[in-house]
Amino acid sequence: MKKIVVCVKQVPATNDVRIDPVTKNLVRESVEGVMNPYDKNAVEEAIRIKEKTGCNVIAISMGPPQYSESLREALAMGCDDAVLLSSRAFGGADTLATAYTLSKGIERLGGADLVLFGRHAVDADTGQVGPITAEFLGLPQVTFATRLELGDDGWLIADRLSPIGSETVKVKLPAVVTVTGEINTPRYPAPIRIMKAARRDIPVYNEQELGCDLERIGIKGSRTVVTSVFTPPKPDRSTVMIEGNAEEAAARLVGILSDAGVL
Amino acid sequence: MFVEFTTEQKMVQKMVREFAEKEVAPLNQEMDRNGFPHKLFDKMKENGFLGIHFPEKYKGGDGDAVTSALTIYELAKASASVALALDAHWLAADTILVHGSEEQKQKYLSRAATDTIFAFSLTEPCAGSDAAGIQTVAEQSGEGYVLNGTKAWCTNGGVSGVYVILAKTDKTKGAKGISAFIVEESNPGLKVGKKEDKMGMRGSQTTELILDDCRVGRDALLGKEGDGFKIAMMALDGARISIGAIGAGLSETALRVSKEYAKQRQAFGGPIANLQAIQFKIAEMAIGIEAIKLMTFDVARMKAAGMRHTKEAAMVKVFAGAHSVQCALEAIQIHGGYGYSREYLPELLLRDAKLLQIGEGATEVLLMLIGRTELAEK
Amino acid sequence: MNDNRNIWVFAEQSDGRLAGVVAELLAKARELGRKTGGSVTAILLGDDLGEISSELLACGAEGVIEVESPRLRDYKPVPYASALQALVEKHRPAVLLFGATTLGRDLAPRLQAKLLTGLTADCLDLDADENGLLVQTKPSYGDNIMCQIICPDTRPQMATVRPKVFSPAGRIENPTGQVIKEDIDVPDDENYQVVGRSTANVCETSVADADKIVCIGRGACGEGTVETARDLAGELCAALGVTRPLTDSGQFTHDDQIGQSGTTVKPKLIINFGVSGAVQYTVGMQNSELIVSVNKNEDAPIFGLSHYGYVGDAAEFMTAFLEALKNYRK
Repeated sequence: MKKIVVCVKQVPATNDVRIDPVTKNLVRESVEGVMNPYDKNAVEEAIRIKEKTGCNVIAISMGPPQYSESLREALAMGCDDAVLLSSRAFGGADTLATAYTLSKGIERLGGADLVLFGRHAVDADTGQVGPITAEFLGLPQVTFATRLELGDDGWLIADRLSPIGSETVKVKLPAVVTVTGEINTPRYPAPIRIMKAARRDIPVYNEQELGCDLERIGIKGSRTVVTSVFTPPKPDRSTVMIEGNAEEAAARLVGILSDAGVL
Repeated sequence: MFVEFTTEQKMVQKMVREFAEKEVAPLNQEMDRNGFPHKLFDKMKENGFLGIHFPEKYKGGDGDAVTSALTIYELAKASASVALALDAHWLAADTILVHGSEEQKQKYLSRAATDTIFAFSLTEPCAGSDAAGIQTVAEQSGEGYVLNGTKAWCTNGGVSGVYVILAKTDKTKGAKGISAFIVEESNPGLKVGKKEDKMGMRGSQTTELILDDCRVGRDALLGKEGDGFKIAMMALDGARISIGAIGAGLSETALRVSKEYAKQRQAFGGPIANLQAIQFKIAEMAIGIEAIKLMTFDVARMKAAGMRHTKEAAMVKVFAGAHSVQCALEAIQIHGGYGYSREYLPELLLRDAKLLQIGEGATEVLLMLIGRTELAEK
Repeated sequence: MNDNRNIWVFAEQSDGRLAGVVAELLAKARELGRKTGGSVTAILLGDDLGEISSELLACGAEGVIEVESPRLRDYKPVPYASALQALVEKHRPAVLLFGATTLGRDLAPRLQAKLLTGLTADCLDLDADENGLLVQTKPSYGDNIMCQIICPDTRPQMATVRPKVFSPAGRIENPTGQVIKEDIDVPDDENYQVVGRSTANVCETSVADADKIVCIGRGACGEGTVETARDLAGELCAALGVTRPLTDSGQFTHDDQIGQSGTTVKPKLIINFGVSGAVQYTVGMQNSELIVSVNKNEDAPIFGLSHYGYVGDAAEFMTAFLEALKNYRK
């Protein structure tokens, strides 16, 4: 293991966003940005592997200039370097265009033995960028990883969530892995690292420097179009009273919970 | 508040806020019952809190006075006690940072930054505000000094590894006869006395110290003989900024829980937040908090810039102390019966807040200081 | 682009059992098909598929495309995505739907990248507009915002759909649809091996982190009731929480207490037994996704914010409910 690239995204600190009733756009200017929580797990996992193997860890993000805040946080946690992929031409990218841009960024960094993502970003909540990036880089993927272990001979052993519970898989490195929140508890960045991270210049690459196909980035490279954004109607809180004796009502509740998918 | 913090300061603030919310806030009421949180302080040591503003060469975080004020402020939102204990640690360690010889800094600061809590001890049973009247003596003996006397109200007493203790090297002089000494906890002449059963700030530990033929080497003297009073006063200027930051954090918590409760609690057909009587209280709380924050971070900037800030730090402390007590009282009033119950936060906030008008210089003494300074200025 | 209107549903299965979401997707796909004129085909990959195709037809599929290969026995992303790619390139469906399960969310984006088309994640609704385009409604910002998304220029229009948002249709007796077996050369992925599987679900026992919570209050703390509540929590894979009066009993700690002076929780399910619903409690759990309450007082404020309520003795209901759950598990 020589090099790990961790992909991070900056998300609003709160999911309590509103829609401007006039413009119909999201109101999020005033909302502070933070590193996507699952990406912190990815950074933590990378640093733990670094502590064992002495490998190099590079954090990468695609987004506007202020996304460097999250990259600085990744540096403060212990990443060695960080790069930001930023350009107006990247704006409006869907998951396909984002993953393309990130894969070009990773290629620009000379590839990696391991590319880590959080399982999904808590704002857009797609979880798609990891697997798409894996395909573009031609690497195997492990999503929803709950434990990672470096095996012998360049294999990685991972526990991952599966439809029946969990499964253990082995992948040949290099590979792309997305991690869950269970995998670890991210550390707090040490103050001295914060000071150094805050003073670092973070290199910024645009589409030219990455050698991007201009048809595959930003809005042009996106295949999906958001046609409307709205606030969902408040859930109906009218209470349904279950009738009958205890046995009848209990049986009915089991049916209700089963239908709701919580059993 | 519109004050532009630096990237470093904002990042540290964010880290401390997260730590405080996750690690400190859940312990607040438990500390009120069980006292000093040793495990929490171990975590704070591991995460570099104890030396956040020390230079890197002493294993510090390389922050400035604004960084440390932000740290105290964010911690105090979760627990004023924890913030106070850290303030007391810095009160002692900063005397070495500012006045220590290079040998003393090498010897003590990296310990203070990474693994040892420090305590500062000036007050005595019969001398608090009138600090020049202390009775503890340090007599020259052979290659060092012998300290004798009793100290009171030593915050972090019994949990510290190193104490900075003020004693008279010349009884014939008042303030100018006081010197400062660094004493190790392992010194057989230093005994930790009675633990105070305090009204509030119960997560910080405050004790008596007994100096019984406590022998120290010449290298324990901080600065020169007779520098002690000046060292103490300078350290207290810094600690008063911390009290401002504690007041801002504590008051903000009082405001936050009051707002939450006022929006939930129904009376007369709606939430009590709709009542003007409640809105006025919320407004008064918020106005004062804004003022405390502006003053606190302004004085912290003066300190960071190396400017004299004695009067301003005293002003912050007087104002923050009074407003914190007021905010806690209003939080109790808004919560009604629940506010008077030990189960809820407001009464704890009140007990904690009251200390802010007493410790690190009582309000009345600081008013004298401010008044005299004002009159001396043109 | 072609004018093919067909709708495909990926028939997720493991060990010969269809995922529950497949029947839901088939029902929704039929509804869309009636609007757009497309027919609904289930796509079934695996090894030794047995009678699953008949099951798919009974659930509403108008046809099934089956690919059997030993390389598709265990789910692996690359062989599955490659097989689907070959099928899509051959038949060119307009729409391809997956359940938003851990498998669907692993597979769909991998395939999307091979096909260079659009994919919308975790949809809560699907519709067809006047041009027959698939309108996909997906939540963002933790379900606080909904976005409608279309994929206008490329095919298939792909979506993963959250389980349990659509209802399966009634079973079709004697379905007439055809099962086509496709013979595809499925590549293996030697870089990816499944070495173990486990169904053991670890239940989260701290109320702060639990997905499901059973909470007992003053009306459910009698002799034996606490034990029943523990058994029930175990059966549900839920954490056991309490209201303020029970924290002093010695059996529970402050960490188990939900409410203003305890822990704030937001589980997927909370069942309250003998909890009256004072504001000091409800503020700590009012954002739970599904709230069920049992209380003998029909005027108890807890019913005001519950989705489901039952008026009756908490202990008696709890015993009956535990029994009913055990039967359900069988």
